[in-house]
Parts: sequence; C-alpha cells; structure tokens
Amino acid sequence: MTALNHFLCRTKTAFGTHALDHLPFDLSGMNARKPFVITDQAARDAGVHMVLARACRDTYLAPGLATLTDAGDFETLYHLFVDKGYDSIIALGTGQVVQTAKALNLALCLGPERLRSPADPGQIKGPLLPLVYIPTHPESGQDTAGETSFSGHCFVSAHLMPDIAVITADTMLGTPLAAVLDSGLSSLAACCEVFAFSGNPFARSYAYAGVCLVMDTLLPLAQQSDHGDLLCQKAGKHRRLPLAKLTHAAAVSGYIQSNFPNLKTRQAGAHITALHPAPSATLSSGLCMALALVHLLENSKDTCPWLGKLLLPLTDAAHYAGVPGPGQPDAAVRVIRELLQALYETLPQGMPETFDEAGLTPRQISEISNLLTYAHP
Amino acid sequence: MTDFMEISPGRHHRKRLYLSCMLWFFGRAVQAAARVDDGVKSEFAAMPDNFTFCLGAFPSGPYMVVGKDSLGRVRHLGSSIADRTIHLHMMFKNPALLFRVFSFQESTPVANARNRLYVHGDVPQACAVVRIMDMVQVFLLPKFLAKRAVKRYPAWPLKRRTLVRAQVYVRAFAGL
Repeated sequence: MTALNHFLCRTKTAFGTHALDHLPFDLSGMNARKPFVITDQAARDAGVHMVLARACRDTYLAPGLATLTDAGDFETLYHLFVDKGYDSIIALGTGQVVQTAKALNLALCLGPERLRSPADPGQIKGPLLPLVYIPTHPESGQDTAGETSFSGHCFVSAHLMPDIAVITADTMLGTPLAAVLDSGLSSLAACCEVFAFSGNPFARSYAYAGVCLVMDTLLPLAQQSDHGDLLCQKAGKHRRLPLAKLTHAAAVSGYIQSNFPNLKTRQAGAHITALHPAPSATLSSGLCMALALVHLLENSKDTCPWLGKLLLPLTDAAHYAGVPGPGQPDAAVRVIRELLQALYETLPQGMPETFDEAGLTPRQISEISNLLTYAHP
Repeated sequence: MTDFMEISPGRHHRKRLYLSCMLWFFGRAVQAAARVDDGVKSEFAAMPDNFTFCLGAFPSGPYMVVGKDSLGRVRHLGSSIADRTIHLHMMFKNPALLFRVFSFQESTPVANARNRLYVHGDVPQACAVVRIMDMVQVFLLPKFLAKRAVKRYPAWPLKRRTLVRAQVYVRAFAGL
C-alpha cells in the first residue's frame, strides 16, 4: 500500500539569468504594486538595489527602499510601511534582513502587539502580505524556512515562508569563505539526511537537487577563494554563479527543514555547537552538521534504505553505474569524507574531520551518537 | 536609524522605441506574408474569421495587433489594444524580456522554455501564431540571425527563399 506523503513548499523559486525581470509580473499576480524593499548596508553600498530598480523599469512598480542600520529600526519600518501605503515586502539580503521582513509581515497582518506578547507564537493562521526574498549571500536555510525570531520569541508557520525567492548571480555579493562553508555543509547535511532516510518522494526530489547543487559548487568555490578572504564587495564574475547555486541549495534546504523540523543532523549540530567551549569559524554549525551526517550515515549503513542511491547526486550517473549495488552505501559515505578532506586541504587554518579533532570528549561523542540514530528508517 | 528612499523605476526610452519599430515592421511583414506565402496563408486559414491576436510586453506594451477579418484578409491593426476585442494575448513578462527576443539574444522557444511569456487565449491558436512568427522571422532576417531567432532553420525551396522573401519585404515596406 502506498504511504501518504505531504510536502509543502509555498515558495516559487526563480533562478538564473534575468530571473529578476519576472518579478513585476509575479508581484502583479499577487495584486502588489507598491513593494517595500528592506536591505542592509552591504547590499546598498554594493548597489544591488539598482539591479532591482532596473528590473522594475517600464512597469507600474514603485518600490520604497529601507536600509537596516541597527536593530532598533523595527518601529520605523512599521510606520514607514503603513504611512506610505505599501502592499508587499521584498527582503533584499540575507539573515537579519529576512528575519526583520518576516517579523514586519507578522506585525502588519496580525498587529504589532502580537510580536510584543505572543500568547501562542506557534499559531499563525491566514495568509500574510506577499513576501519576496532576494538573497545576496548563501545562508543556512533559515531564510526560506517558515520560522522567524523576534524579541526572543520564535514564530513558526508555513505562511512565513517567502512567496517568491529570486536567486540570481546579479545580486550576489562576495562572502567570507567561512560563511560559504557553513552554508554549503549545512545544506549538504540536511539534503543528504532527507534523501537517505525519508520515503517522501517530493522531499527526496528537492533533496536530490540540493545535493547536486552543493556538490557542483562548494569545492570549486573553496579552491577559488583567496585564503578565505572574500570581503563584502561585489563578487567577481567567476564566483557569482557558483555563489548563486550555493544560495539556491540553501533555499532548498530551507524548504526541507520547514517540512522536517526534527532533522537529526540539525539537532546534533546545535548540540555540538552548544557543547563546544569556543565555537569559532573553524567549528561552524554547518561543519558540525556535516560531521554528524558522516556519523549518522556510518551508523545506519545497514538500516538506511536509500543510502546507496545517495551516491547518484553525490557524484554522477557514470560513477554511480560503475559501483556495484552492495558497495554503493560505503561509496556514498566515502565521497562525503573525501569532500571534507578536500575542503580541509584548501583551508589555511584547517578544519576538524572527526568529533575527536573537533575537541569533543568521549562522553560527549557518546551523547551525540545516541542522538544520531534512526529508530524507524 | 533607517535610511529610506523611494525608487523611481523610470522608462527605458531607447529600448521602447526599438521595440515599437520592430513590432510595427513585424506586423506589416505578417500581413504581407499572409498574402504571398502559402505556409503563412494556410496557418491563417485554420484560424476563425474576425480573429485578433496581439504580441507585446507586460504591463504597458509596446504591442503589435494583427487581425483576420470576416473576408479572411489579414491586417496589421497597429499598436493599440484599447477598444478592441483581442482573442489571443501573447505577452512577455517584462519589456526587457521582449527586447531580448527582438534583439536575437534569445529565441522564442528558449524564451518560452524559460517561462518568459504567457498566453491568454486558446493554445492551438497560440501555437499557430508562433509558427507564423517563425516563418516571418526567416523571411525577414539573414540566415545567421534567423538561426538565433528560431528553433530550427527550415530548408525551403529556392523560390520561397528568394522570390517570396522579396515580395514580403516589398509589401512590408509598402504596407500592402
């Protein structure tokens, strides 16, 4: 009997050349003519808002651009939006910009008092205002997930996912290598875990795409970086497309994390980050998730039903076809280990490849091992 | 303190002028080809009488309107869609995307594959209009440009490539 599977992704993802040119049409389809653009100083300084302005030429859109300069701007944003009669939100940036945009959307639709004293932050019913997400950096997947944090409260709802995500190389900014690695490895871990352990065909197809995007771009990007020193300026042409692809993978991992909030690698990553005495760039959340992924896959070789198939997105069809079926699970884990080893070699400061090297005690490793087991694959 | 500014998107006048000229000439060429070329004639013959279609860009044009009257004659009806019943809209989602097609950076099938245009009307007639557009582009453009504009450059007989093409050009310029 066929199992019942659900997968909700309410975000329309536009990726590639001239993807931004579709935005005016897509916004008009949601009855939005006056979008309120929230961006950060780095994107503003790099002139990314001009790319958006060019896409709005010869259309009816009349956007307003607000640049976040400090955390106390929320009330100003709220009053600007209401006073000037905007009808939709565009988050042009990553991280804080998107979280602010989601919180603003909540405040506008449910009232600002809902953010101040959320009686039941988990229950947000009804559609919010149209929200468009245009990233400028790869991130960890939180931006496209249906959750946001504001004033220490966490709000979770599918309505918080952006309506449209436009990922294009034109808006990509240079990113420090540590952030690229964090994003790539966390996306890889989330997508690999879902692909290997979930029987949900919709989730597995998203995960397949996410794994392919990371495997295509992460290592070349790390090898291109000038000793990890990609400062926040407009990224070079040769880096923009791989950065956009990695951002696409992060967006996909966000959709997956919204549907699978209890991913083992994510829980273990958070656990390791909390345990480690001094979390630094060398032990980011993404790296912790990647270490946890290897551990999880090693532990579950015999029980994991689709681990062998994971070799296909990790490599390519020719390589996959050349490995006999029984050897595919080992080969898949080996490919992930080789990727971590190759990344290790490209980094000047190195990075841990095992829990031991990450500085965890045997007791802590045992705790994490207990966390990394699937009772029902 | 939040820094705020209102963006005035403005208009790209040179691109609009280029597109208006191209669509105007293209519309006249469709009218001319419908009179002299059997391929275009047969595509229009399959369309109902008093059928009008437009090609343009969302949200405010420019547009090209072509119609077939009750006697079966095909006419270029100008660039205005106001006060007119349009049976088939073929619209690019942004004037910049229409410009990419009419500057031969992207062919119509590629633009379609990239979800750059939408159709409001019957799909079979939209397919017929695309076939007409392909034929007219082959008539109007030199081979190296036409290859970029259509999916597959057709192997036409010599008469169609030379005599009919010349007739289409003359009639398009003369508005016949």
